[in-house]
Amino acid sequence: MPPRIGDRPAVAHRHRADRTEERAPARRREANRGTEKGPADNDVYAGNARGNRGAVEVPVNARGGGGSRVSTVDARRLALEGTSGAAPYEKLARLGNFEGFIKTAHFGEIYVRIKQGDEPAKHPPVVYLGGIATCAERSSKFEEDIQAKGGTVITLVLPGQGETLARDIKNNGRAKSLDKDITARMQADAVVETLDAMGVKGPVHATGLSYGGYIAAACKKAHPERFDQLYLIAPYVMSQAEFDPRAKAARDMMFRNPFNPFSYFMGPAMERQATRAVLESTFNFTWPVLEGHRREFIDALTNLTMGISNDRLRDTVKGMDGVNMLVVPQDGASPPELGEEAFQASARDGVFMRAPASDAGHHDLIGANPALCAEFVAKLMKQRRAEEQ
Amino acid sequence: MSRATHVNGTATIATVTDMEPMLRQLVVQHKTDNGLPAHCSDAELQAAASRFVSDFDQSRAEYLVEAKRQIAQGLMDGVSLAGMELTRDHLLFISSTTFRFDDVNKLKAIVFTQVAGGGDGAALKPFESFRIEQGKGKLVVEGAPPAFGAATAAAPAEVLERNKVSFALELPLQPVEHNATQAEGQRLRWEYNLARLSDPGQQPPVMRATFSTAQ
Repeated sequence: MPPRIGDRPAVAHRHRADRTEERAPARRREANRGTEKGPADNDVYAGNARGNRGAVEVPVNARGGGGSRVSTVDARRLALEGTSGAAPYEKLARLGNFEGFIKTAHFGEIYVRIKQGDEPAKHPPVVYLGGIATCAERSSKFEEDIQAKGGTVITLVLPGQGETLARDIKNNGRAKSLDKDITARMQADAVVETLDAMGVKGPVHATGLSYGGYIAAACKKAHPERFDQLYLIAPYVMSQAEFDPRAKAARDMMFRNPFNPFSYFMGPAMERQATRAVLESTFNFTWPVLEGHRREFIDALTNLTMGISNDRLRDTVKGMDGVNMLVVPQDGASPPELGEEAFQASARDGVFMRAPASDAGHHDLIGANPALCAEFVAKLMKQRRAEEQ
Repeated sequence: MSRATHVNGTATIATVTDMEPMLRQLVVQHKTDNGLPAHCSDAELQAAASRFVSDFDQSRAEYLVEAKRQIAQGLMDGVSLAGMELTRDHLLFISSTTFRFDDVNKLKAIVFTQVAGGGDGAALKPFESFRIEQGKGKLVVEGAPPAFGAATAAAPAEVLERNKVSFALELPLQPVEHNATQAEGQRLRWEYNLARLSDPGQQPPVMRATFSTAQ
């Protein structure tokens, strides 16, 4: 049986020494970065800054998808300052509580909201990635709860999602990010570029709901030196067409059938049509931030879905350390038994936890029980801090 | 036995695929992603199905041209695409592809390789398992239909029974012995449903026919 959060110790300590040693080279690299040039080409934008910790004053603009630009000089100063400091998150701490857009090298502008916890310059923050149809408003309570428990949380709205998609349309006159399917690797690179642009070079923790949980795992797989602990909440485990035997029968007949050459060649296009048709009929709303852009919203959901349709969480976290998971009983989108199977494939040094029966069937656990999710993440972050000291 | 040479003919592979379970599950997936109950009502299925078949019907002709083009590109000399159809009855999709060959031995070498598009990129060899032998006045053709794994077998029986594959072979020779499910003159046809093809409790089916080559 995997350890559960109620078990003591909640986080296994058996690999502590090894993992500390494993990360040491990364930290040495960090310490040596003093002379490296920061991401000077990346501009920082702000939509709404409410905190008082930040060294940079940013204009306030609470409209989602909008945002006022901080001068490039300020942005470059932010990017370059403090690179020789001992605290790996010093520049992040200077941003204070932040809400706005961060310009990345290859992924355009990414919506970011930072809620600073205790000693933000000293302790690794946690990056939060929402579900496939997320927008910033969906996780506010969860973020506040983590902050209240002392953790720093950086919420990113990824390419193809909410405010970031709206900004893409505004900047380019069309949704440039949707020119092709958005894969997990692309999202992982977007997360790292955003952290780079904010001057965060030390390892961070990552958490995410559903699609975001899977992308969090993909981040650590693609950039292991940049991510420490993962806190996956009802993570995407694999395409439902794979784990539901009825759907699998249709998929195998349609897409992997040597007696069906038509679908061998055209199957992916048909699968996309089916996915899009279902998305159009089930997502009968558009976020206010994407008002007037329903077609792009559905296109984005389709591209994001297709971008990970052949991925499996079990394969992504295989042998990975620091995987912690919170699953939901009777979750039709992320069956807990498949989540546990993926957890078992990891290094199993983290915590596997089931939400209480009262949350059964609530795949969107961040919305249904943000306090539980925040408790799960913040408690494990604290334990990690204690391990590190 | 020695190899048969220059026995021409046609071979048809066909499938019936029920797309309803896949659509239904996609609805459940995206509803739960959206924080809604994990249930697909008939009305929700109907709404998704209407959009899907409408999109599909609009692009079917284009798909067919592209599939024919890609298949024709991969065929060797002496093998041609004699026909390809895709029809549907609501959410039952029916495909039929016929190859004409100048030598039955060339069947085995038919390979589908994706030139473009998604999928996992692995080539499909529909007749890879086929064995063709000739001697003593007879020609023997033996092969297996596609196999599906135990995960597929877990689907409810009514789903498995609606999905079918078939193989038809027509040679200018008289069949003298066969286990085809249907025979019309020199045309033999084997049909299996997915329940049979994925049943872990049974040996995979073998399609077998012996033709007389005596003048």
